[in-house]
Amino acid sequence: MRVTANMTAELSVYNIQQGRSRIDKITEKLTTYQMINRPSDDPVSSGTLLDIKEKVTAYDQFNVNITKCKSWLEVTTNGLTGISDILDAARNLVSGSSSLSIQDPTQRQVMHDQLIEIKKQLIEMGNVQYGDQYIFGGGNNLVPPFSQKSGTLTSGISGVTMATTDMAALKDGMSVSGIGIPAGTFIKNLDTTLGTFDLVNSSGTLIPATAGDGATASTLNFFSGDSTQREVEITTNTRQAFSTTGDRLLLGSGDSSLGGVASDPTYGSTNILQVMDELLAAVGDSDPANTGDAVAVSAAAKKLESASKQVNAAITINSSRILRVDNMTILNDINKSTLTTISTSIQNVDLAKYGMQLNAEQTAFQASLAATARISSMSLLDYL
Amino acid sequence: MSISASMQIAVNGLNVFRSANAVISQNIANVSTPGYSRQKAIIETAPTINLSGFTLGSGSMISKVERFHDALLQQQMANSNTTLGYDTAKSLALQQIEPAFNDIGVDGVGAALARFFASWQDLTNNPGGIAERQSVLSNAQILADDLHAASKTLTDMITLQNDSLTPVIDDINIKLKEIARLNQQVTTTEMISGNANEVKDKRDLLLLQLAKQIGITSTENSDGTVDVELVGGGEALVTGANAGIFSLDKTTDLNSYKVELIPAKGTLTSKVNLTSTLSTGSLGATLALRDEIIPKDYLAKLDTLATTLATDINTQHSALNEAFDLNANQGINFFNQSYTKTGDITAGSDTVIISDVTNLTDGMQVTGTGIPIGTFIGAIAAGSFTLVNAKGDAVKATATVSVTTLTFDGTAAAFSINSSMSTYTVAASSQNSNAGDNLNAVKIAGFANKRLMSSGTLTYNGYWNALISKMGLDVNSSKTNVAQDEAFNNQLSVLKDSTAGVSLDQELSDMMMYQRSYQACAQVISTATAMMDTLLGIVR
Repeated sequence: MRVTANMTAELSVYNIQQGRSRIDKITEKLTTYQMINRPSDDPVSSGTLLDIKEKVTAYDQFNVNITKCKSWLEVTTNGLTGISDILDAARNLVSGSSSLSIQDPTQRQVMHDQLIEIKKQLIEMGNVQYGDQYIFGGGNNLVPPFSQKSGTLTSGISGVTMATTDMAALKDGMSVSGIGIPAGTFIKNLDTTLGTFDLVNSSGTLIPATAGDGATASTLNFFSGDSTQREVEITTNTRQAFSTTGDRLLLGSGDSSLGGVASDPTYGSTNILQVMDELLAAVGDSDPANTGDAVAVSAAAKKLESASKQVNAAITINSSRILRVDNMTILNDINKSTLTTISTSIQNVDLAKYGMQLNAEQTAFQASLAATARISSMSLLDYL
Repeated sequence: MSISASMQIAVNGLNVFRSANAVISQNIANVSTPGYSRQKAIIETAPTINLSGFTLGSGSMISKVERFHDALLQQQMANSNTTLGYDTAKSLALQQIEPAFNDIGVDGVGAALARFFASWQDLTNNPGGIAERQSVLSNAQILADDLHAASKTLTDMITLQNDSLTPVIDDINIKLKEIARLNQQVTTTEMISGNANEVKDKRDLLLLQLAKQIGITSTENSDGTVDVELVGGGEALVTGANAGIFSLDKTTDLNSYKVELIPAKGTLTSKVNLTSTLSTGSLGATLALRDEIIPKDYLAKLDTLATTLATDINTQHSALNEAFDLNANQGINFFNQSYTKTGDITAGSDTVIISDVTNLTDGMQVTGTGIPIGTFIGAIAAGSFTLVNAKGDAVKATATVSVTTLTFDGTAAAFSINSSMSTYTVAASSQNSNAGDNLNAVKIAGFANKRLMSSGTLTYNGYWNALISKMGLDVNSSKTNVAQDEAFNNQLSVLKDSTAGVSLDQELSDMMMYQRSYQACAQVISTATAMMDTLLGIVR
């Protein structure tokens, strides 16, 4: 085959360019420390890398969710523990009393005052906050969930009367409980001008009070929250409920929305605030007309036992949630670590391997340059 | 034979070897000239003469100057150039748009999608939090910006391909004209028994350069002219001394010029539209990139991602009695919604007939068959609206279609947050008056893992990643094709050089040979002169 100078030059240039291109590719890998710098470098692995990147980001977010959720759960634990301690104090107070102390007006007044304070503390613990959110408010947690006011009930009548100044925070649909009010009762037809509202059940049907003379003030316990258990995603397609709702905790029901439906979990069925009201009524005070009722005190004390069990059930479920999210953090970290390892194995450059390859390519390139220079200078002209 | 006859034969020889050396000089002088084919003087014995009953030779002559040229190799190189031209143009364009899809190097649409849904996750932890709500809006805006940037890269490339047609067509026309002129020169030169080798070399080089731009076949006629035809349709580009003329129709659609050809020896009435048939060479690549590859393989998929995302989020964010904002109001569309309606369009008209104009507003982007890219609603009237471009100039439909599907704001470029959205109108709650409820935010955050794209087979990020992988595959394969084409082209070039290239060593050795032959002929003349002197000396 005829070989001309142009052929030699073209082939040399072509091969030099190929060599330079190989060197450039290796240099890019060594300087970026990445095997794949653009999708076209390795389209299949690029897809894998992007998928991994997305999943790692998701796991990071899940762990952020868990961290915030766990903070909430820990504040809940503190609140529940506080409520449990308060109930213990109430039980100690009741169990330490005797039928003789009930007969003494002075001792009755002391117990009465202590029980008033205990109930106040219960309500304060029920209104504990995490930031600007009320822990036990359920889905309506931007206002204090628990409050107690005075109102007048009439046995057999669904209408309730109270001071208009006490009605500011009340709304139709709020749960209301107390002595003489059946369980599962809500506010309807609230009239802040007349100072009245009706008692209805979850279907909206009017419910008559079971006690009250229409003149004597009764203690009314209101709950403005609901049964909504907030959830967050703690891993792919897995949600964890993290709120303990006040209705389940202190009212013994998960059905605190007008027309709502009770749902898991349930801690018990004791309306703790109403038990405190019953205990207060049973203990009486220094007023000779309000003598104590030892039998009623004993009955209320038994309900306090149930109340303590109810709060302990809430503590147990809350603790199990903390355990679950802790475990999920570990699982997420393991999954993330596995994915990161895969990504690293695809993406990281073997410096030793590519360093040696670069040396080899450089040597070959230098040889091709030297050969080209030598061959290009050979000509018959030099010998004529 | 007389002494003068010998002298004449020697003089003939001097002329022959001087001419042969002139051919060698021509070869050596053009050793680096692109497209030059080496020539060789073919020396034959001169016709014999009859002298006194004896048949005697009359020396040598140059019967012709032969040009080393392989027509088959020339056509193969032309075909190879066409493929190389197409693949190179496609590869360069794809490499220019690849950075817009390089989520490996920098955070792009994929990362923006992940951050958008992550901000909804953060909102689930504190649904009433203003900071979390602002984060949702901010990340939505970043997502919109990234979608706009990716869309703009693609539409800019489409515009660039369209605009590049003008200089390419002009260049092709110049080449066609030049080839026709060279055909004329060849005819004229050979008519007067001249040597048109250099003209043929120039013509062959032009044909190879033209082949890079469009696929051609060339046929050499007996008169030395070359006829050039378009591959595929066979339209005549050059016939003898007549050249075809390419032109661009820029009147129908400013964003999509039509390529037309008046064939060689044709008239205006024989003009043909080649836009959809030209598929070879760099011109074919330009048209394919502008009309098929970028709009259908990438832009359409990007638009689908944007509109599906907007529609899905809007549906949940405004779900009746399931989505409420911080003020306990029913949720509204989070993003500006795209709409699909039917209407009638007429080719050459800027008015669309449409009965349902609800939700349509001036300035909305319109897409559909027969509607040029980058068209918007100009003015809405009862039962119709006008089409305009971004500058407000009237745009005409390019097809007549009745009851055609029209999409409004159904593009990534139109993806935007509803102007009524604020931190208070982000609908995180699923209950009226319960701003602490986060169920709607949980549902929207969960969209990140739901397979809502491609008939329920891919998540949003999965769809985007698949688009990136496709882009990567296309760029990778285009680079491989170019490398293979260059290697093949190089091989053919080497083969051509082997046949037609000038070898300095060969030329120099031939030159020495002719030099010696010249010296020998000169010696014959000297000897004949001496013999003549001797003879004259006898006579004196």
